[in-house]
Amino acid sequence: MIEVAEILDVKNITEEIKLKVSDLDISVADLKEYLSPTGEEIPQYFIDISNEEISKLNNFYVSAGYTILPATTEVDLLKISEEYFNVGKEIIDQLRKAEYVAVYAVTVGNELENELLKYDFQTQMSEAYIVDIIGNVIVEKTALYIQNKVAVSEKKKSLKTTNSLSPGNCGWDIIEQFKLFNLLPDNFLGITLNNSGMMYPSKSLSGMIGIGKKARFLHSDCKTCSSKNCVYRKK
Amino acid sequence: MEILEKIAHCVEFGKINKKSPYPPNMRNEDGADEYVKEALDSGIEPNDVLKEGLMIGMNKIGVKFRANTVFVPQVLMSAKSMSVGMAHLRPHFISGAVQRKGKFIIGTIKGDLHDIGKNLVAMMLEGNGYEVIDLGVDVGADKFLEAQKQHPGSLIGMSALLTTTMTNMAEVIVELKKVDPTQKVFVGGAPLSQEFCDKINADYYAPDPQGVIEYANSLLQLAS
Ligand code: B1M
Repeated sequence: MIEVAEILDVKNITEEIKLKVSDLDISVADLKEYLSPTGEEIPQYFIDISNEEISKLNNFYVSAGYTILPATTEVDLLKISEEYFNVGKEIIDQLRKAEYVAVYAVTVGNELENELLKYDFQTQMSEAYIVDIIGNVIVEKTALYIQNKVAVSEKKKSLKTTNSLSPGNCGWDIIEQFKLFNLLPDNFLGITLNNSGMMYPSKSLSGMIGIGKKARFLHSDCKTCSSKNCVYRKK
Repeated sequence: MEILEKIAHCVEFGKINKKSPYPPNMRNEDGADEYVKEALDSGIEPNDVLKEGLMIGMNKIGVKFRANTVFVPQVLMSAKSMSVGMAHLRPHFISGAVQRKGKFIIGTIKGDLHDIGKNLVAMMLEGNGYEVIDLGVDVGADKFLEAQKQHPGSLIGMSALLTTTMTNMAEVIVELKKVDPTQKVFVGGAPLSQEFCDKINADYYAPDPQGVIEYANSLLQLAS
């Protein structure tokens, strides 16, 4: 088995990937959470628009990429490349056993973002709404693709991975997005940040995945989260 | 059923026109498109078609959406039926025979790019007879002030989905009220609460689009 220390020098790598939307295998079932949160029947009209739009969007590309860097925890802070992150209690607990982190970002890019904005919400509401949620699913599934890719390649080195952890979630302030992007190459995937750390193009996601011999994948669970007053807490 | 009731029914259940197969139990029946045309042809006042027909249906779907008995797709079908009906009223808007209730400026607050909720509120306001000026996302005080200047007397609404940037609303409210102390400002979005609304001196907090409409309508009643 390869020791973590032995592979240290091969870390600090950056990988950039372009994926065709069709590779994400998006179907109407992926839109269910947005279209029918309690499982009631979706009007056929929506299924038809969804299928039509998915097939058009399948020809576009999305960009994704990550850098793997050594990481340590110091009390309740995460340290990566001299940068300290205050990720909050839940996230730091998940990362305590990580020796590395894969810092990632995914984006639909400008071309696809423009395509997602082609309908006017005021006159073509259904189409605009459907295309918008397909855009969400595209970035969510791309982030999942990165998570799986990192997990599979690290497994080959007998290393385990945590789930994906993002600024803005579970007590990790979005403003730390700036520090996260400092760890990535300049102009990474063409993403830019506004003053509050939000990414442009707007259909983008960012995060980290912990890597280590004893890292554990925990499904995000509101029950274990200490943010008792979080408005997004599932009752 | 009287024709205005039929129009309201079509909007409530999202029956756009005869061709539309949705909802399945109204297949092959006339929809908002045909009934609005028929009502206008028979001499019913355009204003009545709007207020006693289209808007009643839109209001009903808003109430159901609030109660979680319908979801976004159904609301969108209703809005589509509404807009198809409204197309027949357009010449009457231009001639001044039918008037909008008022103007509503809306935007997602600076720092935030989440806009689905804001878009739904805008759509429901349109459907309820307001002219909506949508400023988009990541909107700061400067843009709100500019819109306030361009459209005096408008109501203003701000949406926020991020706990970190919802606080930016406070500054915008101060600026808007500096220009016009009577300016009514509505706030909403998942992380907001009545308590937060009071703290930032907003006039109204609505957890859902229907709340915005009801309060906006109540202000109109007070004014008339
Ligand atoms: C004026 O008066 C009014 C009155 C009523 C008003 C109103 C105004 N505005 C709204 N309402 C009300 O009426 C509407 C209808 O009932 C309601 O509107 P809502 O907007 O609440 O509801 C909509 C109909 C449906 N709800 C939504 O559309 C939001 C859903 C969730 C899942 C969500 C989505 C979809 C997205 N996201 Co984002 N996203 C989340 C959201 C979690 C959640 N469950 O809410 C939230 C908001 N996101 C979050 C985060 C952190 C992020 N997101 C990000 C990305 C995205 C997507 C791109 C995937 C997508 C964007 C969608 C879009 N175009 O707006 C990232 C930022 C993106 C960027 N560009 O920088 C990122 C920063 C994550 C990252 N690090 O990459 C979290 C914020 C946490 C916080 N601290 O506040 C979040 C709560 C998710 C979580 N933690 O679980 C009411 O609130």
